[in-house]
Amino acid sequence: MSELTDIPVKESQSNELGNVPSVQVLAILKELQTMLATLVETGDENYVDIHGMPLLPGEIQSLKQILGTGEVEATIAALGPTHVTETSIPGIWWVTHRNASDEIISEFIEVTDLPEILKTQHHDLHEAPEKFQQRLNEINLGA
Amino acid sequence: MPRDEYLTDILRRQGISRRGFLKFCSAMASLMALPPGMAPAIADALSKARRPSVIWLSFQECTGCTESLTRSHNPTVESLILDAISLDYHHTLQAASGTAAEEAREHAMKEFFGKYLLIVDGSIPIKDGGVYSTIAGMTNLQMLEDAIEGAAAIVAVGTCAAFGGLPHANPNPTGAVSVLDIVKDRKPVINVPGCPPIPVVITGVLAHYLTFGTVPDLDHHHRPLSFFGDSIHDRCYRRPFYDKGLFAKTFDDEGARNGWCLYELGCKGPTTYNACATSKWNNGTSFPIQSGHPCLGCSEPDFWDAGSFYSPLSTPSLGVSKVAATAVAAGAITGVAFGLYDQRKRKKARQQHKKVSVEDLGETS
Amino acid sequence: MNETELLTWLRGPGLLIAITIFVLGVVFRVIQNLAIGMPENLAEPKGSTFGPGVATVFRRFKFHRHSTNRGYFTLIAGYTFHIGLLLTLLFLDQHILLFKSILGFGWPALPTVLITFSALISIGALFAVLVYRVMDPVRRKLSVYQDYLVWVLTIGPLITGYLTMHPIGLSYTLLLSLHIISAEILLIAIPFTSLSHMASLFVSRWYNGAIAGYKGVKS
Repeated sequence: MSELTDIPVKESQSNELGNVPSVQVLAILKELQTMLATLVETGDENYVDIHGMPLLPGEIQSLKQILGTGEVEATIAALGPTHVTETSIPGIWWVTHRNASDEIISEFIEVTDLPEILKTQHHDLHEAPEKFQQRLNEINLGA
Repeated sequence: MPRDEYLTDILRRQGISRRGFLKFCSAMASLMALPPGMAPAIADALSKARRPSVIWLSFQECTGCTESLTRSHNPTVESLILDAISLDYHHTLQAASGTAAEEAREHAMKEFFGKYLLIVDGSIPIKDGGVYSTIAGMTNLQMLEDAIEGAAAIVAVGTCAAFGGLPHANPNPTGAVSVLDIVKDRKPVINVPGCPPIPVVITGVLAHYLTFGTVPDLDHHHRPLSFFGDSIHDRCYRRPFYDKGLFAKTFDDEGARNGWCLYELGCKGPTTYNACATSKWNNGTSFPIQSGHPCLGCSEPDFWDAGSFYSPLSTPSLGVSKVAATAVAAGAITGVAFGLYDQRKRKKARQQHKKVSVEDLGETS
Repeated sequence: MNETELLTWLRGPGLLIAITIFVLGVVFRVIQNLAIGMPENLAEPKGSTFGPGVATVFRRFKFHRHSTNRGYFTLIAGYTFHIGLLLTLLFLDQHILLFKSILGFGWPALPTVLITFSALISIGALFAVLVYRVMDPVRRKLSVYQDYLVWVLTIGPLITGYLTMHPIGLSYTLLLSLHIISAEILLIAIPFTSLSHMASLFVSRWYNGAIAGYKGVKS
């Protein structure tokens, strides 16, 4: 009877799918194309939920490679890090939400002129003047 | 704990900013397979929601379901939801014990009558008056019956609660039954089967209830369609190999190492409905098929009695060879017997054959 | 009874019943026929019986040039159906697993896409012969209830099998159950209908060849 250690380990290449993008990747790209056209025409935003799809390991890399990186890279510290990147295609943003243990809890490709999570939240804005005044009071007391 | 707190206040107290809350809602939307654009709507709904009361009853179970739920790293959506709900009674997890615990349960049931969410894991034994599983001298059957009337909805977590599970397997010595067998149509029942269920599926169902206050769309087995709508086979990343006819024949052959389909090793993926292939386990790390083991079909009723885990779906669930061999023998023996009998009949007919003469014919014309 | 219980029963007791009746019935028919033997022939044998009998079994697979006198249709449709059916039944990996569990041995499978093709042409051929049977006045008059019954019994597993590989509407579990039940009904019906030709044809061809061989002619 063969031992577990007798089974040779085979390292898989990251580009084992070759340079040709897979059917799944092509389908997602097509969908993004349609969403982008809608955004330009009517201003309606849309999203693709990457986390919920059964993608093979190389396919997410493939998507990232094809979309590329643009001018914007942002990190948000809320419940763990969230990375927001505008891809080389304006209007197509890659948003990765991670928790405090750096595990991905959700991942989206957003087709928008600005992802919601980057904007200042209404609620926070309402409380901002009070917060600012408090801060100013502290400085006055200190001085 | 103040009862009238809004969920958002609870989260704020835990130092979660508005952006963090939005991130939390996006993750919940993804969990419930809702369009991501719904995150703001979920945020809105939760802002107006109050902390619901939850009673968790553990019956004839192995505690795997509770383990599955609590074995998640902090802070994740799962832990946030658990923190957000008010776990008034959990036999295994709660701090109180003994009579104090039972009093807490009765108190919660009275105070939130008609509004509490009842979660059950484990099957309910009913043989011999239900004596095979008791808590504080009370049978599981009695405890469940007491809790049904005041519940708003009932969630049966794990295959034991949903379908009877392992205790229900042949010969079912304790007379184990499912939650639905007891509740019937008195209250809405949501089945979340799996042995154990995937943690995100449990919390996804709770999240849906928290957000919308309603029971999600269910299939004919009362399982939420958003998690149990597709079979493993339909979402399996090894499906292209199945379609091409490339199968692993043993656990460590060339095909297995190349990640080929595990149908021949007994995979029950085609007949099993669960989210394993998409949500996976341990925060999306892997699932049985990805690790090279065929699916057991653990979220289906009677999966323990559906033939060997290692015999493919197209093969018999009982031994056929002996029966077939006996049939061949029986057929051959009766064939020979009848054949010889017919042979003798033919011989006799020949011997008794009377020759007809022309004169005989003339008489009848 | 839920879906899983139904499938497990069909894979268990259901299959045992069907196989018992099928095997017992077919073996009985074949052995009985062989046991009856040929009637006593007082003429001098002009040749042997066994060899010519076996030769006829194989020779009859080739079609005679006069078989096509009345047209090629039945010939082509018949061969297409039978070859398609045998390929589908014997060379789909999932079926080979079934045979392996019963017989103890298996054999290499063909790519699934080829089997899908053979199943479809088999179904097509079946529809073609049915249409011909119904539309041709002579055939229609000659057809009896059993002819239509065995057509339905035969196409059942083919169609349900195709649906199981390409599920529409119903769940895989139910479709697989339908496939197995249609195959089991077919198995049970074989010994009692003309479908038993799958085994008895070898016996009748042998007898024809043997009788002719005794007389010293090729048949």
